[in-house]
Amino acid sequence: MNVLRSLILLAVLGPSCFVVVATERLPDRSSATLDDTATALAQRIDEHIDARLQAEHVAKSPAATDEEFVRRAYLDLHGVVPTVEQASSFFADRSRDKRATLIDKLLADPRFAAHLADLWDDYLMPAADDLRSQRQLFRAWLEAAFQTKPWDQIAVELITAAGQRDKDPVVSYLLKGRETLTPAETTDLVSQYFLGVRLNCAQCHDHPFTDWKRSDYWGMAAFFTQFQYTDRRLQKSGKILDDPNVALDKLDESSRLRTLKFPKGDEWSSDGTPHRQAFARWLTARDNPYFARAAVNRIWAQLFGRGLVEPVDDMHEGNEPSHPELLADLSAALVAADYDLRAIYRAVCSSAVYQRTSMPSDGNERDALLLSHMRMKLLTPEQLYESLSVALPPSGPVKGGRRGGDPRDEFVGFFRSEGEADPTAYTRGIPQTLRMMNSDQWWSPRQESAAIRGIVGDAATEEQAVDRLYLRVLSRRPTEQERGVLQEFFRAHPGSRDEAYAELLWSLVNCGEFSTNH
Amino acid sequence: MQNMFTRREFVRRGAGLAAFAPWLQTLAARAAADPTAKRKSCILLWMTGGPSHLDTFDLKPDAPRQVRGEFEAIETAVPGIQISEHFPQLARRMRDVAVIRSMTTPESDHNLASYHVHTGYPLRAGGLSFPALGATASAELGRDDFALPHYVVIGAGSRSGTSSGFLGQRHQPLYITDPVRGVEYVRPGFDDVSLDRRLDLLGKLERPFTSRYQSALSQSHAVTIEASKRLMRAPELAAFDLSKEDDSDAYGEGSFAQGCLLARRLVEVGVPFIEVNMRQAEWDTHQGNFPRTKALSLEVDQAMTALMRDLESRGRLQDTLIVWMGEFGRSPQITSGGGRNHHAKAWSALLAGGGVRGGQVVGKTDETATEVVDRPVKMNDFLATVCRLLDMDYTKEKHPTGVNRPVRIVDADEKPILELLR
Repeated sequence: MNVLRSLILLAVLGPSCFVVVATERLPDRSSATLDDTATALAQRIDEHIDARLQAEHVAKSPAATDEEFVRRAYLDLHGVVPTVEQASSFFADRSRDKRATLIDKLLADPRFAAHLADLWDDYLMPAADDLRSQRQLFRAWLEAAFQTKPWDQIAVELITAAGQRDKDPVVSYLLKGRETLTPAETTDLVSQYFLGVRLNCAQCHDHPFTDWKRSDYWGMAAFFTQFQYTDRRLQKSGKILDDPNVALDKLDESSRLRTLKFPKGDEWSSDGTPHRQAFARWLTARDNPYFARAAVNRIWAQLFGRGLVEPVDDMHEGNEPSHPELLADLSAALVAADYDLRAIYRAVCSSAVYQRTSMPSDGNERDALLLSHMRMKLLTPEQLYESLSVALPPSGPVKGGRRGGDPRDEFVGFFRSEGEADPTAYTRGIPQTLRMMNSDQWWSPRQESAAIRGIVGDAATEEQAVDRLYLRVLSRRPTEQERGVLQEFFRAHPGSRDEAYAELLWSLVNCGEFSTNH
Repeated sequence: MQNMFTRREFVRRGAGLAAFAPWLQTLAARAAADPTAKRKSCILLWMTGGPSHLDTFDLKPDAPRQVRGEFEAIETAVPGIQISEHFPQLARRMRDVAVIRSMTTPESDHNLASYHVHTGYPLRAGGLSFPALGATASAELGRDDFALPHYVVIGAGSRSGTSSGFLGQRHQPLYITDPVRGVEYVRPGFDDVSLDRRLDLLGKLERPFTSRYQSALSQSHAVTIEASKRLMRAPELAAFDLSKEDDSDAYGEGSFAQGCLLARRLVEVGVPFIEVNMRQAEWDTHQGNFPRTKALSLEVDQAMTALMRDLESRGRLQDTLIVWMGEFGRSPQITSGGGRNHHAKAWSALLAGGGVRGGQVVGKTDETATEVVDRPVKMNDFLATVCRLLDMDYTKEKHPTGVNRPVRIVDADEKPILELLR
């Protein structure tokens, strides 16, 4: 077994072998073992959540319908709504374990890695326009990494990133313009995304609510003082390299950068290992108290719209998890799975908690914490763009689009607002709503008639046309109530059927149901 | 109408509090006497990144070289008040401007500081999301019969701290990324009859979804659809069209200058709070502080004085408060790259127009502008002052859903700067 092998290696080689272990790991588990592990963990998730619901006398909502589930699973794992074919084949499947089959299929698909790459690209890269080409290379690097590598290895490669930005695009996130991130900026980013802790308050003063000290902050920052950009003027040939000769007491921040110290841990005296490598090794050690916990809390937040600890990157003693034992179980499971993120996604998505409807019932509508029903999430701009591309026929680049170039980047840039606590989120305001309602990217007469031809096609009846529109846009059939509304709408409509269909299509795309994951 | 209710409640509360807050009584009496009295507006000139106080409005000509920097201090129209040489026009208008040199705040991270300065509360204290001052002004000064959003944020860049927080989607700002483009996508590609049918159908399909799922998210979606609908049909939309201006050059070129011009037009149609964001992080001068601060200062100097002049000639300067500030100041020590780092312990802000008693300096820093030595002004002191200038009762308590304690508009223990009020 992998764990055992790692432990033996550890015993033989000492702690310095971690990076090596991580890179040489083999995917040697049989799928049967994986299934059992996922099922067992899913059961534990349900037990923890249900125990708390019971204790607080909050009712559970029933399981999501297949229609709710298939849309949710595709959005959460592939970042896009299912196509008509994908949804239909799921509905047609009569087997009892078809949800588990779908989860496995989605996780095995390269699109899953692409979705994680979207998220982590948003987390790690600043939202600046001039970095577009770098950003695409970095995103491609992430996608390849999530496709094949476990999380600890990805973290090590990110934190120790070195080389030239064109050949080793992983370094891109350490650069802003012609500068590298400062030690303080690197510390903020690494602590937020790999430790799940906001250390930045401790930059200037001991953290007011926790026992994070300024010495923790600057002790960690000292690990990020060696990497440098070799050539500021010639960006292409410039490299990020670790300079072993950097002396802490010669730096601008010398008064604060005194010693190398692991957060809330020991001081580290240099043994010639590049500092970043030493830090990465500490971070990904199996007994590191932060690394796995931060990862599973973030996965939880992605899937449920709220972390077990919330804010997701503000994990400290004063900010208790909603379900402490569950957080501990998930963290241990990630380590036991050798940091295979899919193991956690698989277990969480298999749980009854994840598969509940987001409709409240039996007076649980006020519950926003205990997961009596699924929390509704706003699609990220990337999810929205991808889903529009599935719902509506492909359209060309936007006329007059401010950023030009790639239409997806332009769209995401327009929807995104800087300064959100979660960089994947956006605030749905008037500008975004107006664009959804009025952009000639989708709603020119030519686009509309092409869309109706593509979606409704040769439908024989109004009812059939309506079914096709609903399945295409919302991955479901209309309710009886909606059929009633639409019968009235068609009856009163003075124009052609196609005109009426186009107006219905517009209304479906603009309703809250399309823009949310529920 | 919510508006009237607020007024009535205001009068009642004002009377109750009169014993220890005479200004509230005056305010209430004024509102009762003339319900159509013109309400105040506010234009916040937001200097994203944090401008150097030492190189703008708190120069230290006698400090050591490594602190003093490169700029000269010049005399202004008010004897004894000196500011940077790169604000020559503002220097001539000093009688209308008050300089606060003793701002002191706890946060020196951009995000945390922007949030604190905009809202007066720390980010995520108690998990509650607090409204920006502009959103509060939208709730307190807005009119229900007015079709434009009551809080408009102009300019690209960080939107940190500008949310309506617990006041909800109704008071969320309208973001205008580029003042020249105005409100984008506001005209549909189909005719009005089709638009009516679409909106009607959308409403009918939306309602069952909102009631089935009962989530705040679907409700806020419905509110935004309504606001967008209203905006599309508002006659006031013409205010966003800068091509109607003949003298837009007076403000200068670029997004900030044109944003100031747009702000003036929005004040004229009745938007109570406009925030003009100066370009993303330009004031964050960790490198090359001096050339950058010089260029930005000159840009502000031209646009801000053009704005004051324009408001004045339209008779609106006395009821339009102009605030100039960023999220913090910059460190006295100049770095090896000719830059200055973040500094929140002591920094400067300006108030102009809007009934401010100008030609004054409030507070004082030490000889290196590192610490405040006289009249420290914390965020609640500052916001209380701004609220008084805007005739807003900042002691009012709000009751956010899901929170069992009331939240004051401005956090308690505030000390408004009385010497700035008329």
